[in-house]
Amino acid sequence: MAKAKRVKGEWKRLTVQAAAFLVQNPKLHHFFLGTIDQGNTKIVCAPGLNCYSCPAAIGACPIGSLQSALSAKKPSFPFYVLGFLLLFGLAFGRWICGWLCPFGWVQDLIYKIPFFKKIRTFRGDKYLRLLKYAVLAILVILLPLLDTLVPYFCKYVCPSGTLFGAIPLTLFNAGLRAQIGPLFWWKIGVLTAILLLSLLISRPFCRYLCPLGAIYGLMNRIALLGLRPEPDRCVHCGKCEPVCPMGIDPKTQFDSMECIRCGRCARACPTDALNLRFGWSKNSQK
Amino acid sequence: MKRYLKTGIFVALAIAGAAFIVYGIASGQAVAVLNKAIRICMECIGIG
Repeated sequence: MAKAKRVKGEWKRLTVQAAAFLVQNPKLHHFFLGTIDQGNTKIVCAPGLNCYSCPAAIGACPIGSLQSALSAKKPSFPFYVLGFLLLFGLAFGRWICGWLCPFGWVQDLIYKIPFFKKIRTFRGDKYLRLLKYAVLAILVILLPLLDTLVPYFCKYVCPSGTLFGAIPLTLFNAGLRAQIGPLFWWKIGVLTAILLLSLLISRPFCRYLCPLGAIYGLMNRIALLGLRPEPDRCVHCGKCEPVCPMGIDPKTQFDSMECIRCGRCARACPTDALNLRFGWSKNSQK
Repeated sequence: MKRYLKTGIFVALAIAGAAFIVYGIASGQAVAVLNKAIRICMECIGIG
């Protein structure tokens, strides 16, 4: 167990994350009205896990839209949503998780709270990470296909919908508040568990449960934006590994499906042996 | 992964992604996404 490692320039990423939240959720007045934005911009999918029932959201959640297409009375192959996921993933990979996702930002902020000993990894961590692929396959694809009109992931798991949608809407909308039942409290429990875990483990939802991270992770190796190593410059000081929020070794796992391209390792590197940039380098073609 | 293979996969998926969006718009899937997104998703907020 260890303390959270500090890295220079981390405030820049936190600022971009805050700005990304505001760009994806600019209609803030809806929070106080207990309603959601109904603009035509919601025809476009947001890149991150940004619930379309967040009152201020102006985009559609890609995971919610995917389940909606699959669980429709007449299910169709979700061309439109998959198109967005492919283009976002090919351009940025999991950089979206590290820089644009509102729920990733919340977890990053909570992990910064001191007083709790931070857990970098533990026995079974490697296998638990596979859970997000099961969540994608079962809760996002299979069960919505089998059970019409039930978006299983949104309904039983999604903490982003609970935090940015359920809590503000039930606070400011008496009609919705009157309908609160066991399912609501289940979702509050899931959210609370994830937020409490975020005090100890960096980004537990992104590591173990997020189906969107699982999709983008599959495209990390071929995404245009990535971590580009320059082995000749590496002095093996070991400063990059302890600062990785996803608990991987950036030197050897720069193409990992787990890497969220946050760039902390690149900023910690004293010799610029790791760089976050567009374009594939020869060194990454192993 | 060899560079030509990586480039090939990238280009094929990028073309597929763009084509999927165009087909999605033409087949009404974009409107379906909008219709879902502008209504409060009761399941998402733990009520439905």
